[in-house]
Amino acid sequence: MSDEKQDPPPEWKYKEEFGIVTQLKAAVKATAVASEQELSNLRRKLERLTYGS
Amino acid sequence: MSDWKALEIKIPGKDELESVRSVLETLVTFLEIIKALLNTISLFLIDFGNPIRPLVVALLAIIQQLFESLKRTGLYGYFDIPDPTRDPNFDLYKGGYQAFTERFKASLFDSKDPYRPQPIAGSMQSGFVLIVADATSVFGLLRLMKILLRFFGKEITAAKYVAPANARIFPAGTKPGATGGTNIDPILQVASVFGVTLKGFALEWTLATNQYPPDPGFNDLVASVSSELVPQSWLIERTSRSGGPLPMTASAETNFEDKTGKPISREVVVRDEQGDVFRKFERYIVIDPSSSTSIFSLLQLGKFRYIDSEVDKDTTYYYRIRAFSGPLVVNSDGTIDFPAPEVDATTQELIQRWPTSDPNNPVVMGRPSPILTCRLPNIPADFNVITVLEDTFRMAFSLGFQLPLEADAQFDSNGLPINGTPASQVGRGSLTNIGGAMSRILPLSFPVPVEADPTTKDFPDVPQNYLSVKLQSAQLAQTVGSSLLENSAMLSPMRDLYQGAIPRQIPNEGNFKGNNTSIQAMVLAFNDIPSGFPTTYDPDVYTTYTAAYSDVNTRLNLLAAVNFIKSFTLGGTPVDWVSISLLRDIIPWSGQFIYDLLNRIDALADAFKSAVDEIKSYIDAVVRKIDVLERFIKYLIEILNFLDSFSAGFYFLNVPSTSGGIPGWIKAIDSAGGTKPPSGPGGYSAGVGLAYAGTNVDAFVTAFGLIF
Repeated sequence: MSDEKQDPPPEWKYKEEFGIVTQLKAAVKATAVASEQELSNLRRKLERLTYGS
Repeated sequence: MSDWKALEIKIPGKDELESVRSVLETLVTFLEIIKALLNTISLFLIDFGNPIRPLVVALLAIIQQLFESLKRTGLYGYFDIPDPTRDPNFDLYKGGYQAFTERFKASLFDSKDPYRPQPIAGSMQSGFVLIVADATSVFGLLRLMKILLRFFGKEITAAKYVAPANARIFPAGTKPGATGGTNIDPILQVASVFGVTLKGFALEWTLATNQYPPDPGFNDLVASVSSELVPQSWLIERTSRSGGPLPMTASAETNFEDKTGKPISREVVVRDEQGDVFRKFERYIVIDPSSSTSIFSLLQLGKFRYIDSEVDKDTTYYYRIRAFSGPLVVNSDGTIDFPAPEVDATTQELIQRWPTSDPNNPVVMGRPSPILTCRLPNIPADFNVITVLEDTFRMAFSLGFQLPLEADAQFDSNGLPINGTPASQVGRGSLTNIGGAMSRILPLSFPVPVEADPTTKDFPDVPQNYLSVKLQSAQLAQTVGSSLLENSAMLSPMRDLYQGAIPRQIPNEGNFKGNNTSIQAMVLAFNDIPSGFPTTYDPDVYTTYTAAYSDVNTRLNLLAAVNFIKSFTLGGTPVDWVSISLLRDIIPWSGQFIYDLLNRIDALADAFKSAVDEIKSYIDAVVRKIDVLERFIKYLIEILNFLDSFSAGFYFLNVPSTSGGIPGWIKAIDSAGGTKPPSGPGGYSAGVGLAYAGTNVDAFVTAFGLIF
């Protein structure tokens, strides 16, 4: 009996997207959410500066 | 068969490696984008407590690891992609994914391919990934391959149409003898234009000839023939906009900012897919060879012709002709609603695409012909322009208008000769520059009575009957006629001058008898020479010539006509117009005064500045930060749109690592299960294979697992 590990046969996979594209989209979306949040903070700050609190 | 391409970073500059290198660079670029996003976020000091951060850090480590591995081992690329210019029916790609994997396996044993991967079984690790586009139709495969290749930063070879050759445009009209009024033909001679009823324009062009040098394998022949056999349509672009078709521009942000931190926008030129400036026309006419066969009546001669009869007179039209294929969307009124220009990911330039009714079948637009210009003159009825012009020049050359003026000739303010200047000096010098060989033609004086030559029995000829005078006059009449087609607004004034009352009374002698009421009648009568002359004696011809030659009024009438013709053609008359600036040239001191005033206003405004500025500058900084963030979010949305354009269904087979060498690869392909491409023997498959081999391929396994 051989000691060599027998790899399972590879499988064809159907994908609508490349893995890197999925990763990129996740990073871009997360960045967009964080940027939106920062943007609303800045707008509030600007409003306070302009019209007072 | 597709060949393998190897990549060895330590052997730079080898052309064969370029395609694989660019693929890897594209993938690394994707990873770099993620890195850039992280940097940008830290720049804004955004609290980024998101699980994405460790992912980004891991990605950066992978980039580093990937390059380290590439120094030790090689990456191989296998691009089994169709070339529509050489295989328009995609015959080589029939047979579904089974045929694809057979081609892939055969490539591994292709001894003529030095770059194929040859991992040694037992001592080397190797792996590969296959990305397969599978479709039931040619168009489906083409669409998928375009997306797949764009992901790798490459382009599929599309059928490209070169610009049509020998594009020409003529006025078109009904020939005098034609019946029914529907027989419209191009008018091929300027002289004929003035004799028919003009109905439109005739455009003619031919297929471009092959300009490439031949090669021993006749590859160019195969390519050119196949591109000509791809059923192509023609697009005729037309506009009557003054100045020609307008180059398309779009507003784009630059890297420069104004005082408030907002990017400065400017209008940039939009280009077409071939990199040429995109010009927008008012109307687009599609000619489909399958439905408009009558237009192609000359096709067997390699020449195409289209008659455009929906044109207005006295309007200059600009045309271009280009070949195309695909379902181009043209509105019923002949306009095209263009989609917004796209930013080319490679060149960063704005690219205008042509609208298609089927996203799976994009429009392939060929290069255009040069712009052709034509104008349909509004020709007054009963005015034979060419004949009148020809007779005017014949009369002028006969009377010596091409000869230089004598130095002592003097004239009064009305142009009448004074101080003994003879009448024959009137008009001289007016055609000196365009007389050509006519400078040798000297006016004659004829004895009374005129006698025949005793040897030839011929009577002397008159200059207006010389062949050289008639030829030169006919040539000039054609030139002026062409110019009149461009400046057809001059036709009516010209007719008024020629057909109106004659300005000065002329002698009522010879052929002038009864023909002395208009300039037109005068020039026609002067050249009224019976056939058979000078063998046959005609005293009226000599009388007419002698009367005209020595009559001041006749010469002044003719000079008026010559000067009118010269005023809009043949070089014009001095003085030329110059452009001037009101402040600089007319009131030179006013410019300095206005600048002084502006400086004083600025100084006054500065004086009112106060500490409020400091608060304002802080607010400005916040506003600026908001602007930058808004732009950044816009940029992120553009990236998302770009990423969405890669969405399409592909089949992947990833064999990350095996020590079994090529037999191990074959076994892996044969035993692979999972979701196989479904098209079967009737389908079409093509794809890309990326492989690696070395003593340690862990970095590739990780990177490929992430990328694909």
